[in-house]
Amino acid sequence: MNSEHLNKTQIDELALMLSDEFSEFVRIFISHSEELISSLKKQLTTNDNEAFIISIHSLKGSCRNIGAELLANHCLQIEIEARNDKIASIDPELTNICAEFKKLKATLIKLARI
Amino acid sequence: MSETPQLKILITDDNIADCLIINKLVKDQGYQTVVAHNGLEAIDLFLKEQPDIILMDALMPKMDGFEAAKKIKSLVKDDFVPIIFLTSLNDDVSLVSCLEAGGDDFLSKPYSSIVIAAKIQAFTRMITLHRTVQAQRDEITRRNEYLLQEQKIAKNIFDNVAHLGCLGAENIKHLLSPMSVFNGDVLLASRKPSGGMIVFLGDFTGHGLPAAIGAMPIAEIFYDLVAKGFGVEKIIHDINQKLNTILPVGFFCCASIIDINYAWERIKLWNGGLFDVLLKKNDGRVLPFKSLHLPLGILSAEDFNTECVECDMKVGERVYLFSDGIEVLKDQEGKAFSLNGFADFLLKNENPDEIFSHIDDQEKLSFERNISNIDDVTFVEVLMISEEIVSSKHEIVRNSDLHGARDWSMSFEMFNQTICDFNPIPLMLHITMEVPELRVFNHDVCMILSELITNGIDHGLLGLDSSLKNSANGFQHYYDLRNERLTNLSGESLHISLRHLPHATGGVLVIRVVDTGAGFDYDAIDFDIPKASQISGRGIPLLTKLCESIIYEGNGNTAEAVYRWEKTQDNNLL
Repeated sequence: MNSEHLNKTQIDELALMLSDEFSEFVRIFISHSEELISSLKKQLTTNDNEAFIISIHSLKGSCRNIGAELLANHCLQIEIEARNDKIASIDPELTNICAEFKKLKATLIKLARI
Repeated sequence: MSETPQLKILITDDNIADCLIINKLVKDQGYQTVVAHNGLEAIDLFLKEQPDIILMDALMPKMDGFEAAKKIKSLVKDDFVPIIFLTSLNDDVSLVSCLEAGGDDFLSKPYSSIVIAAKIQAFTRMITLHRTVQAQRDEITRRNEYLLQEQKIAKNIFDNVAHLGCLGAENIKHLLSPMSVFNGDVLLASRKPSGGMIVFLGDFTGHGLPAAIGAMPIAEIFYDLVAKGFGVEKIIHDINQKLNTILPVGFFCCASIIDINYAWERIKLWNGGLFDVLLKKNDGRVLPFKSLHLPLGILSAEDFNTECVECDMKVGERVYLFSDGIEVLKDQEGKAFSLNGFADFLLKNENPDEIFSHIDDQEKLSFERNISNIDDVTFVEVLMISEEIVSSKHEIVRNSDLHGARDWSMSFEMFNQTICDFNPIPLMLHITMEVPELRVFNHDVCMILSELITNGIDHGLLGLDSSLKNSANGFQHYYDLRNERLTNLSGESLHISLRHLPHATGGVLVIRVVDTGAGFDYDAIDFDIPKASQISGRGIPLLTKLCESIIYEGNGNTAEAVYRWEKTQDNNLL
């Protein structure tokens, strides 16, 4: 699945480097990202712009690191909107991000054989 | 990575997954790691773990990377702890914020193991370099402190040996630059036991320790010989010989020495390699005394010439000695003094009292302006004053030795050429100084001895007429005659005997001088004429003042002086 969802070369390199720790890493990535997404939704309802930027920025960074480029790009667009004080126009359900994350999660679980 | 030292790296990232990746990457390079998840934790771990390099995420909850970086940079002070920002921010504004916070580099996501390895290695080299420089700086500081401390102690010893003697006398003004501990200049002054004073100014080649070490024997010889009553020629001879022995080739000491005689209002001067010594006359003229000799320490004793120049110096006239460095000083128009400039300045100056303060002001000014005075100036002004107002205070001489020669006599006889070649006064003084506590009266004893011996030779043996010295050219004529007759002495002798008798509170010293000359009519001497107007006489009024009695016997060629001295309370304290 070398696609815009997940850069195969990059995730392979990561798997090689982390070897035994790779599945643990994937688990941590998934759970940490899920935490971040739920924080993001909460921050949207409370209008906490500052915390929202930190969270979306963090999610974007870790997506870049594993090669989840499409999700990283979704995050980037939203981060830009948030930085431009357009937090109100952001989809409160973060539909795009949630959908993309669901696909990524499935791929990663398969890859890491969790 | 085997050659890389085990450095400790602090990783700070709020994203657990990212943290895991970078931690693994860094560990795989062989480094030790510690992990923090926000700025506050980072500062805490920084203090606890003392990491060598910090990898810092920019955006974090609680405290962001910028603030944490600033705080850490303020804590490290002199050390170099590089902070590399981990960032997916790549707009210039954000990168500038990283730099402003004290960041040293950036690492952007996704991480590459090659880039991380290269950056950490580059910073490791910088850290090593920084630590080497710091260690060297600390070493230099430590050595410098040690050196300064040593110099301070050495300066202390130096000042005790090369002390200022009688530079505090009312007729001397002097300026010693405060530029450095050892500036290569030596300035010494001492009262002669026979009255008058001798001033020495030396300027060594080079500065610092070698100059200071060379200056010590100069001071020792100078103070020792002056106190024992030796003349300038002997002093300059001995100093030259000592320096010639101890100084390496290429090192020497330019020097001037002046013997100031208040009673005769004359100076005797030797200048070897120093600037012209300048004499400002009361009539406004400025007489330069050029260097006629090589500096001290160059010639061996056989080749060395101690010949001095003599000159009248009336009360109120001033003589100036200075080391090089005077050209650094400026005159009123801001022009530098060359030697001629200073001589011109002296010539034009109509208020001699202000000369010294002017030079002093200039020196202070150039010091304030930090004009480099590597060879800074030493400047001395000596004013001729009348003998009557010369402070009669005795030099403070430590005399704790209560044992010694108290009850003794000695006699010494010189014949023919020895009368010309040998000065017996230091020898006599040396013996009288063996009497405990008589040392304090060194000055009186020396005066009596030199008056009696001079009378015995000049008038008794050589038949010279003192009235010759009354005219301006008389002095020269007198000395020419004296030298001529001295070299032709034959069948003559001068006998000196000393007898010291102690008593409960002091003692009596009897000095007898017998010459083989024709004698003179001692009944004709007026003992009541004041000394000043009888300067060229036999100094008899002076002797009468100092001695309990002074008598002439036979046909006038035997003189006997009785000097009675009493211990003072002060002496006991010394």
